[in-house]
This record gives sequence, C-alpha cells and structure tokens, in this order.
Amino acid sequence: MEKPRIGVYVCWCGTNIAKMVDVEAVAEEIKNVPNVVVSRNYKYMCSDPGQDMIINDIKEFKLNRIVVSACSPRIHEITFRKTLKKAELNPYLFQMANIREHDSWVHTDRAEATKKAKALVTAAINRINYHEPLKELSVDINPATLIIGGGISGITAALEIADADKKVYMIEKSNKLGGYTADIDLTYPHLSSVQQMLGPMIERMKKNKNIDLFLETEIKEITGYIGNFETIITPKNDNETKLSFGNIVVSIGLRSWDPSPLENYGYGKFPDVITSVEFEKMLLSGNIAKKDGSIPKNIAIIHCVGSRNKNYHEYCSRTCCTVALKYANQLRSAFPNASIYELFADMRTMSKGCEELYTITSRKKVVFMMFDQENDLPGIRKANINDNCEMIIELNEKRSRKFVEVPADMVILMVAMEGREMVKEVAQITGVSLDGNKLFIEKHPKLDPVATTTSGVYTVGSCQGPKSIPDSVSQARAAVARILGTIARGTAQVAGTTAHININICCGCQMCISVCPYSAISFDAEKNVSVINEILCQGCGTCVALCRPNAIDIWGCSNRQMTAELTALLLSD
Amino acid sequence: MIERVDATLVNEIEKFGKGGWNDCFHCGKCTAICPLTEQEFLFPRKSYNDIQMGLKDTLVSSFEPWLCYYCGDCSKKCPRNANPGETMMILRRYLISVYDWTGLAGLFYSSLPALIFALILVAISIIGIGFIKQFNTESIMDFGHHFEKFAILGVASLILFPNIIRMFWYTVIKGKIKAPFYAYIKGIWDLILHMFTQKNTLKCEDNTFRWFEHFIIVIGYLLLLFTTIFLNWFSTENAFIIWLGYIVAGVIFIFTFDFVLGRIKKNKEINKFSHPTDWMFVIWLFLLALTAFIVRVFIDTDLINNNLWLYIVHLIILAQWAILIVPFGKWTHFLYRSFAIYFAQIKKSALIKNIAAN
Repeated sequence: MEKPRIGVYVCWCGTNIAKMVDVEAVAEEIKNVPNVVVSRNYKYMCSDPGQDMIINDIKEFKLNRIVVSACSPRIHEITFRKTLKKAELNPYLFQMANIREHDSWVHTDRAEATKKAKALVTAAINRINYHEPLKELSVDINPATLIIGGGISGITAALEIADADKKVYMIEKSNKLGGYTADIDLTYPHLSSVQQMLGPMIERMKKNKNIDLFLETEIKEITGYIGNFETIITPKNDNETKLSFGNIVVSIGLRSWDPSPLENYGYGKFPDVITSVEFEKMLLSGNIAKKDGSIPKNIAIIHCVGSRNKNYHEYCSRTCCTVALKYANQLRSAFPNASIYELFADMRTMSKGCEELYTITSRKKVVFMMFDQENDLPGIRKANINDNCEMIIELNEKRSRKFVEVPADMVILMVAMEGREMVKEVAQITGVSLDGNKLFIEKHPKLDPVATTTSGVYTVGSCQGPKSIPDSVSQARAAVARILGTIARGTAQVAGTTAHININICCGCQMCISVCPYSAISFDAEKNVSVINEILCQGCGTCVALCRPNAIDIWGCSNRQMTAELTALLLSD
Repeated sequence: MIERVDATLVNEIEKFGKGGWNDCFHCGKCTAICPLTEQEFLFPRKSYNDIQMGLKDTLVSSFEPWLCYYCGDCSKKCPRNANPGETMMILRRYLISVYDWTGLAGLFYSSLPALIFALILVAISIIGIGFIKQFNTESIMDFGHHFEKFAILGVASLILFPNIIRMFWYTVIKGKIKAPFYAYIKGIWDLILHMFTQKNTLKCEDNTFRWFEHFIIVIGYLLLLFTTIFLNWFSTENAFIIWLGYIVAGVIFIFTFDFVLGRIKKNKEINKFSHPTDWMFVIWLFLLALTAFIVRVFIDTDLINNNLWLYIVHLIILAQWAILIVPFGKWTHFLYRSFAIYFAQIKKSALIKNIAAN
C-alpha cells in the first residue's frame, strides 16, 4: 500500500460550526498529525469552490486520502465521494468527521467544543490511514416486476407498469382480483361506487398483454437480488412456472380483525352484532336487514373495536371513523326515520373531505356519543320484551359523564385491520422486516415510505400500515415511479461497503446465516464456509459482531479502522 | 333507573324552533364565555348534549334553560354557528309545554294555524258577547272590567298554579333535590327579587339598556294591571289615577315598540330569530297598551259612545292576551324563570352541603 498522503478540510458551515468551534485553530493543529499533507479551513466545503479546492489539492499535492470535518455524513458523504471521483480518486478513500451535529450544535463552551473538534478530526485521520479503495458493484436490471397481492394497490401498480410496456407477474392468493376493495359498496367521503371504479380496472388487468395473472397462487421462495430475482410458482391447474424479475411489489393488504375476544360486544353471541365487513357486504347486496329479515329501527355503530387498545392493536386503523360516518349516511338514506347512534372513542376524520363528511353526517340526526377506550368500553346485553328493541348497550358516556342505555336492533362493530395470516411468510420470502404490529417496515418513515431495506423490494398499500384507497393508490404509483426509474437506468449500483469472510478462519458454524436480516449469507457445504452475496449484503455488521473466530469484516468499516479511530479518541485529552 | 338514550327526542324539540344541536361538536366555548353559567349549572353546552342524546328526564328536570337570559354572546362566538342562545330559547319553549298540564302550550308553540284559530275563536266570542249585550257601552265596559278580574283569577288558579306544581314535580321531586324546608322559606326573598327585577340580566355584557327597557315594561305592565283592575282606570274620575294610567300605558307601548322594532331590524343577537309567538308577545303587549291608552282618550273626549268598536277591539286583544298568551305562551317565563332561579339556588345549596358532608 502506498504511503497515505492526507488532506484535511475543516468547514465553517457559515456560522453553524465557526461560532462554537475555532476552525482555524483546529486546521492549524491538525497539520502536525502524521501523514497530513494539507490542512485547510473554508466557509462552505460543500460549495463548488470548496469542492474545487479538494480536487486541486489532490492533483497538486498527490493526496490519496481526504478527511472533511463538517456536518453529518448522512448529509454530505455522497457529495464528497463524488468530488473524489471527479479527481480520479477512489471515493471510499474518504472520511467525514461530524463536528456540527456532534459538536458545535450541542455544546455551549467554545474552548471545550474546539478541543472536541480536534479529537474528532484526529480520530478520522487515524482511521483513514487504513482505508482501502473499494469497488462498487453494478447489476443489470430485469425489466419484469413481480407483484404479490391483487388488491387496489397491486392492481394500480400492475396497470401502471404494464402501461409503460414492461412485464408484470401478478400473484393473487384468492380466486379473484380486487381484495377487500372489491367488497366495498361506496367510497368515502364522496360516496361514489367502488364497483364502477374497480370493475374497469380489473377488466384492463385481464386484457393487458404485459400482465401475467396467476390467481389462487402462492409464493414459496424467492431467490436472487435486485434486478435478478427468481421464483418458482405452481399456478392452479397448471405446471410449475419459473419467473424471473428485477423488482418486487408487496401489496398483500391487511385483514379485518375477528372481534370475538372482546366479549362485552357479544359478537357471535348476538346474531345482530355484526362487523363492518359484514355490514359492507349487506350494503353491497342492497339489503340491510336483521338476521330474522326484519328492518332495524335502532342501529348503533361502535368505533375502535380492537384498534387503539393495548390488548389488541395499539395502532389506529385510520379508515374506520370515516367509514362509520359513511354507514350513518347510507343508513339514513335507507331508513329516514331510524335512530342511528355512533359510539366513538375519538372522532378521527383525517384526509381531504372527511371532516366535511362528519359535518354533513352530524346534521342528519345521528347521535354521537363518546366512550373511554382505555378503561371503560361499552357492553351489550339482551333487551327485555318491554324495551322495544333487541339489545341494550350500556355506555358510560364520556362527555356528559353519565351512565346511559342505548337501544339497538343492529350493532355494527368497526373492527380493526391487522396483518394477514401469511404476512410472516411473505416478509421472510421477500426479506422485508415486520414491526411489532405485523406491518411492513419502510426504508425511511418519512423520506422513503415505499422502499424497504432490501433493494428492489417495495411495500405498498395497507400492508405497510392501515390506509384508505387514495393513499394506497398513491403508494402504488410512488413505487412504480421508483421501479420504472431503475428499469430505465438498466443497472443498479450496489455500495462497496459489504461484509466479507476470510475463508481461512471461518469455521462453518453458520451462526451468521441465522442472524443476517437480508438473507445475504449462504453456506458452501463443499468448502464448509459461509459465503456472502455482496449484492444482498447491506453492510449492517450484525454478522461481524456475532462471528466468534472473527472471520468476518466489513469493507470500509473494518475492525482495524474502528480500532484506530477509537484509539485516537480515547487518547485525546 | 339508568336513563335511556333517544334519537327521536330532537324531532319533538324541533317543533319549538330550529336550533343548531346538529352542528355542535362540544368544544365548550359557549359555556366558557357565558357570564351566567356556574359550576353547578353548566350551560349551554351541557344542554346540547342532553338534546343530542335525547335524555328527556335530564332535560325536563334541568333549570339551565331558565338561568340563561339570552345575551347572545355564545351565538356570536360559536365556531360552528350552532346558535346556543336560540337553542336555550327553544328549550324554554319546550319546557313551558312540558310544564303545561293542558297541552295547549305545546299545541300553540308547534302549530301556528292552531294558534290563529284560537285567536279568532276568542275574538268571535267577544263580538258575540257584545251582541248579547246589544252593544250597550256601559254594560260592555262593565263586562270587560269583571272579565279582567275573573280571567286573572281563573288563569292563575286553573293553569299557572298547577303548572308551577308540575314544574316543582319534574325539577325538584324527579330531579331528586333533597333540601330542608327552611331552605324554601329562605329563598323566597330571592324569588321575589328575581321575579320583579331580573337582576341576573345585568351580569351579561353590554346588557344594561336592555335590562332597563325590560324592567320598565315589567313594572309598567304590573302597574297597568293594577290601575285598570283595582283602580278601575276606565271608570274613575280621580285625576291622579287617570294620569297614572296614561303614563304607564304610554311607557309600555313606547318601550314595546322599541322591542318590536328590534325584532324587525335584527341588529342584536337576541332579535335574529323570531318564533311567531315571539312576535305575538311583543305586538300584543304593544297593542294592549296602545288601545287602552286610546280608549281612555276617547272616554275623556266623550267619543267612546259613538266609537264602541274601539273598546271591543281593546277587549278582544285583552282577552286573547289573558286567555291565550298569558297561560300558554311566552308570558309564563315571568313565573318559570323566577321559580327556576329559586329552585336552582336550593339545589345548589343542597349540593354544596352534600359535598361538605362527604
């Protein structure tokens, strides 16, 4: 290895850093650290003049390592790696010392903050001595896409990709397309027909030549990595088929919760206590009636059944409040003189037009009553003959602080949405993590909501979190934009910072295989060693921490680099 | 007995006026700004809840609608335009109908044709009596004088007194207010004070002038009643009584004219919504005083014998007022409001005592 010639650049970040850290003093003192050839400070290192300074220095002083001491690497690491590339230096021969978030922003003593900055920069210099040039891998992208789940999100994604003239394989577990959406009568807040909306979409799905539809089919295993996935499926009444594709969309949706465990609501015990899904089917069939065929005079709708309750699902199912309002509207149209009661915990009518629906509904003589979701749920009992109704709901009304009885002939339970029965299998097959609520975890909750930590796999629709139709559709289209972008580029870059195994040390215990969250490690039985797929590996380091014989290391974040950095930090005064 | 929620109660209350109970979403701003609401009597929001949930027993036993003097601040500030002030007014109408044992109050409030029919019936009866008396001025005026006495006595004993007892039954007995007898004695002074002064109105903001007008009308009305019935204004030769009558009648029709004008202009919150019975109340009081005034002028100028029709018109208005508006209409707020304040004070002291005992 050639002798390190290090250039160090201390950034002012305007006044962000310079106000609390004496950047000139830091740059001056750093000059004395071994292997440092150039040490400068500048107002904005990320600006064009700042980057040009680095490029010129690399050429003039034959620098082969660059340390920029500025903000978080999350913000500008990629910027400076590109700078190095421009100067024809390997981008991995770069290290950032964060003296803004870790120093100037969080301290109030200028002298101490300056001292800390020196320590952080020295540590980065010590570390960079051991940096090595790394290679970025490039993979070709198969333009076909696999979509798992034929609900509204999956259908939207499929049509969108197929319209861009790219191949789509749609896998659906049931015998029809549409998912839960197909069982909905009207949408909220506009009360327009779902069937009129969904029907033509399904027709287009069937007719589109770019879409291969596999109904009543399940996925057992997916192999490969971004751009080059493979699976073998066995469609009903058909032979085994091998599919190759470059990207995966997971859109398996959620299922409705069975409210039987909430015994106070008497689901299963009283025939006219039904779930929202059952009521929706009633609406779709055009016949709202009690089990005995008669028309209900008193209808109660209970919100938050199994949602926002630590014993069942802690999250809010997001759509039920507005769906309940929709029911009240539909019931009022069907029965102008019926008594309609809405028992809610909190009225959550988010999204455009939904608060307005609440206002409209409240003007239709619908009685809204509040209950304590945490401590005091309503209970249902059978009514006496002289009560003139089927059931009595005992309610501790929260706003009036009164115990009241609500007469009911039909009770609609707004049940929670929860992860589907096969969600764990799908998560394992696709290499995507689930959270504690059996919802898929996105790559970044705000900035990357449809991608996952596995490159090439996207989760859209309610399987990522309870969602309305417009939100699901938006997510599907967002994922399609990402996928078509990848297909258009034709290749995908995979970062060089991956784990690698020293096969001379590996004992073949396979512990690393069991912990890898990306299924990136396999076992070579012949050589009795673990093998890492560098494209799947995300460089998380879990296997490194676990490996007893220390056979695994990570490019760009090796044990030696870390030790050098830490030593410098610990030796600073 | 746990109270039963009833979604159909609003249909019943709706007959007494269009309130905004469907718009209220319980932010509580109205209660927060109300100068009259107290810890023990929270309104208007709480009344909204009782209407929306259809808690009839709670509503019927509540004093809150009567404790409101309708300054209209709540209606001005309501973020949903749910009109709390008018809703309290509607509840007062509803309660008047609940207290009334004859059911006529409810009928007249909810059906304008029924009310008009009753007014015409009374007018025809008076004309019929005039016919029987062969339109003899002296005997008709004599009849009118006696009618006034008997109407007051009859309405008070047959309608108003039983209705106050019913109010007591619904609010105090069914409302389970347990207070010692001396509390009722102790509160009588307050009852009289509030009945004749409406002093709580002054707690509302910018309400002094309205209170003054209302106070003058109440005192003027009582004095006019006294002058015509006990001092026999229309037959007296006593100059003092004649002038007293002129002054009180004049004061009433001038001040009620301003009330009528207010309802036409709708410039104040309280005047924005007028139920037919609201119009009737102020117009009839205005006409009552005006016709009385003119009748006395005609007597003083000896024109009455040739213009008996004028006295008959006065008598018709008087009869309609005494038989219909006083027992079954807005007039009763004079009694119910004072009694509600009286009972409410007793309830409050009982509550405070209870809390202290526990």
